[in-house]
Amino acid sequence: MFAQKLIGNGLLNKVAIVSGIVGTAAAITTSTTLLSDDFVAPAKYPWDHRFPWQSFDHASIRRGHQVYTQVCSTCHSLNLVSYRHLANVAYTPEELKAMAADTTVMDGPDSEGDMFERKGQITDFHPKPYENANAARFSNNGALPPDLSLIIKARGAHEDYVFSLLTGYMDPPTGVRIVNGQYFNPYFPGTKIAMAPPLSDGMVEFDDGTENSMSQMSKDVSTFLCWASEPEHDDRKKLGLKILLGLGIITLPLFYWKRLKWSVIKTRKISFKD
Amino acid sequence: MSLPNLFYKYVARNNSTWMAAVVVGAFALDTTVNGTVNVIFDGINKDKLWKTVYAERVKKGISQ
Repeated sequence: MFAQKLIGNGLLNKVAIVSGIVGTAAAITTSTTLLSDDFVAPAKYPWDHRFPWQSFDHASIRRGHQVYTQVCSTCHSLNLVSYRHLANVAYTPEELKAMAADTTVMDGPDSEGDMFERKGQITDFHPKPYENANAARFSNNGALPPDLSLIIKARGAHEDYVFSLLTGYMDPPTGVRIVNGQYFNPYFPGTKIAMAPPLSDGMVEFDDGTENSMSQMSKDVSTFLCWASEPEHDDRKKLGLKILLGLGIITLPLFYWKRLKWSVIKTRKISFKD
Repeated sequence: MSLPNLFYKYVARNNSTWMAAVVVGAFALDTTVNGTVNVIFDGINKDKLWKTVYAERVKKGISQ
């Protein structure tokens, strides 16, 4: 009875509308930064591949792969990315064959049960810097460099985080004690990171004439890792547009078909006789 | 005769012609939609796709 009265007065509707507006506004204006976090939330950078109709910048993917192989790969593995995955994405197949041929891969066992070394092939995955996690920890002061294949998906702010982390090294503020083998980075959870600042200006030479500043290299390697974590990105976006357009077109015949099938029912008349 | 009537008379009225129209239409729609979206997407992202990047590199003489 009371509820009916409320609905009759439209009060419930008003409450629902107001709470909907407030909820939506709160969702839009607040991000998920927690006051208990012990790190700085990365800024939102204008990556244009974030828009639904924008592809990756493939020149940037190529430069980023160059940065990865020359800098990151000394400590970080890239287990899920094979050389062939980069074919017609950032390199031609010939370039990749030559690149893979420079590596040595442990293969086997052969018919006698022994492991043997062979020249790398385009189907091989990126070589691992360390044999296993223990070796990696032992060489890095007890810290494990994470595999970078899916790192963009594995971190909350995605490519913004990686870019901020790479460009965010600074001197520790007064009162923060940094022990040997640690570095201060406000974007890293806990702010004390075991990775030494990996990039500096002019570290990698880009053959396409792009300026090799630290932020440019960070942007490129973030784009590359973004591709690595989502290689289907461009096709996926294309497929989304195809589905929208296809369903849009198919609506017209479906509408006609519905009217056609219902026309008999809609136009019939029933009369009663004594 | 108006277009919907013609459509009804020659396409929708018989199940055989209707099913034929569905099959032919599916192929036509698939080709049209794929072609249109590919052209639009490649147009929007012209400077960023690998084929353009590769062509640029070949022109500069830094890729084979």
